[in-house]
Amino acid sequence: MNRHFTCEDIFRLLSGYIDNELDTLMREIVEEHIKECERCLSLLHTIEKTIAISRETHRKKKVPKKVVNRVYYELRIRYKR
Amino acid sequence: MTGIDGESILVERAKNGDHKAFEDLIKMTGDKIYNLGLRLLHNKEDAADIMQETYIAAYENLPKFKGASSFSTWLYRIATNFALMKMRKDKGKKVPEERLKELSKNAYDTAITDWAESPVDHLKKQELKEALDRAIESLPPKYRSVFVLHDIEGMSIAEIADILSISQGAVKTRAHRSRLYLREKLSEYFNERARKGMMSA
Repeated sequence: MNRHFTCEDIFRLLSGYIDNELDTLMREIVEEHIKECERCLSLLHTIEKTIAISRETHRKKKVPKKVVNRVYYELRIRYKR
Repeated sequence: MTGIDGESILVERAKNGDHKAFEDLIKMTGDKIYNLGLRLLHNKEDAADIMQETYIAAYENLPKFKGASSFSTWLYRIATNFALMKMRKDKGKKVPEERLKELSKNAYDTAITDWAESPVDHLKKQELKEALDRAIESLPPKYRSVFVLHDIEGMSIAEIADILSISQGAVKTRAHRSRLYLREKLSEYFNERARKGMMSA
């Protein structure tokens, strides 16, 4: 089925594949290709891992109370609330 | 009171001059806006500034808020615009856009090492974060904002297109190129670490 799809074609589809933006046919084409192509599979894995590391190293923090208080203070001063 | 419904009620009250309702909106959305600032600018002081500028602008423009998007999305738009202004003032070296375009044409043509299973222990995590943050900071602002909103904040392509007032196609292209560039930078990091590991073995 993917005879006409080169690594270059698949490579362009990888982000769409990760984001679940491909239709069923294109998804199957990518899946068929990466079953046989180690290079594209490695690219897919390392892109996914890049995203996972980015999320993991930027976990949500609580906003410090003094930062929120500064916003309240600024609003009260500026608008004489 | 939580969720979007609670948010809309507070917005209506704030529009009618209820200051406490606006402070409750800050309480409800403050973590999101502070984290967005931190993730875009990698600096606590800048994140605090973004937060202050965002809520002041939101307060001033509240009468113009018509509820076409949620209040949180509207805040994201304001905060992202302030962060973009700060990023554009930063004169640090950026990767040229041409290089990002090239990468998305040629990445399949280079040697690919699969480092996805490389272990990252606790001590190395900070080092990895610093390497990644340097790479994110070297992205041009219009790429950095898309990457952070999409891959760290987890927003959809449509939401980002709305926030940045660009087409969904442009969001997809920028997200793809940013991922490839950061993937390449992390490849360099893991390859270097493997090389050092071999030398010290």
